[in-house]
Amino acid sequence: MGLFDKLLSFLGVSGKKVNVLVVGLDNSGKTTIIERLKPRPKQSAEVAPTVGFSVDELQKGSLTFTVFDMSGAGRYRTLWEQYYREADAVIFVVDSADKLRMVVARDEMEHMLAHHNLRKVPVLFFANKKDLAVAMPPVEIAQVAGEGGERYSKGG
Amino acid sequence: MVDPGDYAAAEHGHSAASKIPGPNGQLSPPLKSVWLEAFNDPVAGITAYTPCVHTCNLFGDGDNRLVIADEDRKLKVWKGTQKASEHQLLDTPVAICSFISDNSQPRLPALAVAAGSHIYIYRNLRPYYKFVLPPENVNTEEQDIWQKVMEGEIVIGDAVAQLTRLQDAGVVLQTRSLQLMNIGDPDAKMAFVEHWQGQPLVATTVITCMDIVKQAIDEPDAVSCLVVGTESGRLLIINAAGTAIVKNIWVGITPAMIAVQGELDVGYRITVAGRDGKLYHVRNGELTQTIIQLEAQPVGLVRLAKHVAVGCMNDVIHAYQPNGHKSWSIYLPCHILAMQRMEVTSQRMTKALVVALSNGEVRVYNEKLLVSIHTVPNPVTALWFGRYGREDNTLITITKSGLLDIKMLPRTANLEAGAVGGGPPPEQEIPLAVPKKTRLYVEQTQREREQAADMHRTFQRDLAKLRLTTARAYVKVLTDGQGAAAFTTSTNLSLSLSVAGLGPRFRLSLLLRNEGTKHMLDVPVALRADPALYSLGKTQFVIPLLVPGLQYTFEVPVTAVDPLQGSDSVSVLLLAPGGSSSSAPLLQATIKMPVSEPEDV
Repeated sequence: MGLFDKLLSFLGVSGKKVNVLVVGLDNSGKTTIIERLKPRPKQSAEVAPTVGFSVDELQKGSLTFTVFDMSGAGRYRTLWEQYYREADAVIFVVDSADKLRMVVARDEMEHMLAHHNLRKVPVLFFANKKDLAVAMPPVEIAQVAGEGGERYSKGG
Repeated sequence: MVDPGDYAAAEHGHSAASKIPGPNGQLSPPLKSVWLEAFNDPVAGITAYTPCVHTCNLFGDGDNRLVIADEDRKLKVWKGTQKASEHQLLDTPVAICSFISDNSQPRLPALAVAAGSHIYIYRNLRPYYKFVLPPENVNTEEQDIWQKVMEGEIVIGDAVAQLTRLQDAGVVLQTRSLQLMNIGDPDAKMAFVEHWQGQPLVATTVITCMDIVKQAIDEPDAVSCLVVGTESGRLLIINAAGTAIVKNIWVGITPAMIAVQGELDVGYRITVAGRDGKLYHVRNGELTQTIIQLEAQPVGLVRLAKHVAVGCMNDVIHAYQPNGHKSWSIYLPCHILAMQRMEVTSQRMTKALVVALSNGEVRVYNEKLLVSIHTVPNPVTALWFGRYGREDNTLITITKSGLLDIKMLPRTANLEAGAVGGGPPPEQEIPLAVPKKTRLYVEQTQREREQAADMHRTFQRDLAKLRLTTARAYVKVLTDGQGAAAFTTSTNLSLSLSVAGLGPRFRLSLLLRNEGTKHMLDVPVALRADPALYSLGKTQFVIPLLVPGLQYTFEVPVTAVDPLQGSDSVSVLLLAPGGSSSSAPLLQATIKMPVSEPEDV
């Protein structure tokens, strides 16, 4: 899939174990994305709000991904920083239709990028739910995120 | 699309710098706003006051909706950043609340809109039930008069005269009677009576405020009941289904605002701010004796953790405890427009207070310390803090121009008092290192108690002896010429020495002053130094005259023979002028020479 070609090219490595951290606000679609990446028989039909976090293992080509799917609910967001140190890549999922909380997503993103434990790893911003009528186009999301984002020059 | 950035441009991003003069008049560091700007709609077109704004989980999907009972008789429901639906109300609303009727799943809240003397209960945004307030008791004489007038037994003029007599006697008449008395034209009076033909006189009352009280447990989705304040001075508690009155409490004055704490089954307390400027307390259904007289009319009542904060018209917020004691007061620069409770759901459950002022400021106070200020362009009419959308800790502001502003508290917001200037200094938090109470300490204190008189006497005696010894030594110094000051019957001199220079060549200055009243003639001066280290310009000379009061300066060049040898001291002696009896020197002073620089080749 195109997504994985992109990830592989970000990482520039092959044949090893990689830790991926998936973060974002609650109800943004993190668990759903990870379910879709699994092979079809393993996908579960319904996704419930994640509690704490969940770990999944995916095999794509020669890479083995250990995906840490963190919960985005307010009370679990403090858990994210525990996993920054081991993360080799970060996927930040944003709900394009949730215009109200875009500023909260930006605040969490700024805190994440400024955290001392996060190494210089690629970060993929995933603007989810673009099929909804009220979704913001990626340009606008980038504008909101970019207001604070220029300060950080971490890759990705 | 309204960009939150534009709106906040006047406040440079999300920190509004506001300078507050400190207690001494100096400017403390600018106070920032803790809020994140989520959404702003200047043309939302909402006219509502604080009691008419509410957020609740209407549809059970975790996405709380904003429900506003607008003054133009519409119930507006907002979801996210858009208005989701609008419903018609039958009367101008006074207050809106959401309550949960029963424990069965799904626990969807029902909306209660208070208007006039009815409470309209909506389920799933559809009218469900209309609760009517029970009528009050009418004065029997008044009722009689109306009965007779309607049946034609007495003339209208007579009836009016009797009603006036009743009113002078102190009876509070119903609106119908007052209206009849006000009409001047006899034909209109007749028409008025005919209009009310057949309807006995009933005293209806209207609702002034509404809130909810939890039934048994203090959870956000627990069963709750409505508490209603009426114009006739009553507090009514309605059962969870919204059909019957559980408790009817007579307060006496019209409640303007109420604050409820506790649960019905466990124990509850209602604080009532009355229209007469007093605070009343109701405890478990009974009016307590504690009545607090406020110095000005109340404009806002907020329940905090242990006390109740009431904002008054004289720009002060007082916090009172249930027993009547005042915890603290906050003095504000201008009028209070709205007040709301901020219960922050985070690690530290802070119960703070958000206040909107007439100069456009919206301030957040944690206990009595100011934590955050931001400004709003128009006067604020309504403030609400709670869960909206999926985010807890959202502040919703509605202003007079119909502007809707939504701000969110970031997860890492610091609402602690010490975060900004004005609180107690952090040094105050360090506990004093009090030494431990040892056995020896206890024994010593006992000894002190027993032998207090002896200890005091011994101490005083030793102190006196010390003073005596000191005085003797001083006299000795003055008289035997070993020091830099001489004070005998004939002379009173003081000498000080200073050294100038770095190198092997120095200059020694002698400052001599005759403090006495008699002049001195021919005072010889001798200088002494280690010849191996220093060579003195002149080793002795005679001062011809020392006039009392003048400062004399003498300079002697001193050369270090070998700069690398180290430094030593030079001493200066003032000898008695010729003809005096003793040969002891008058004064002696020594100065330590500094380490000299090596000689330049």
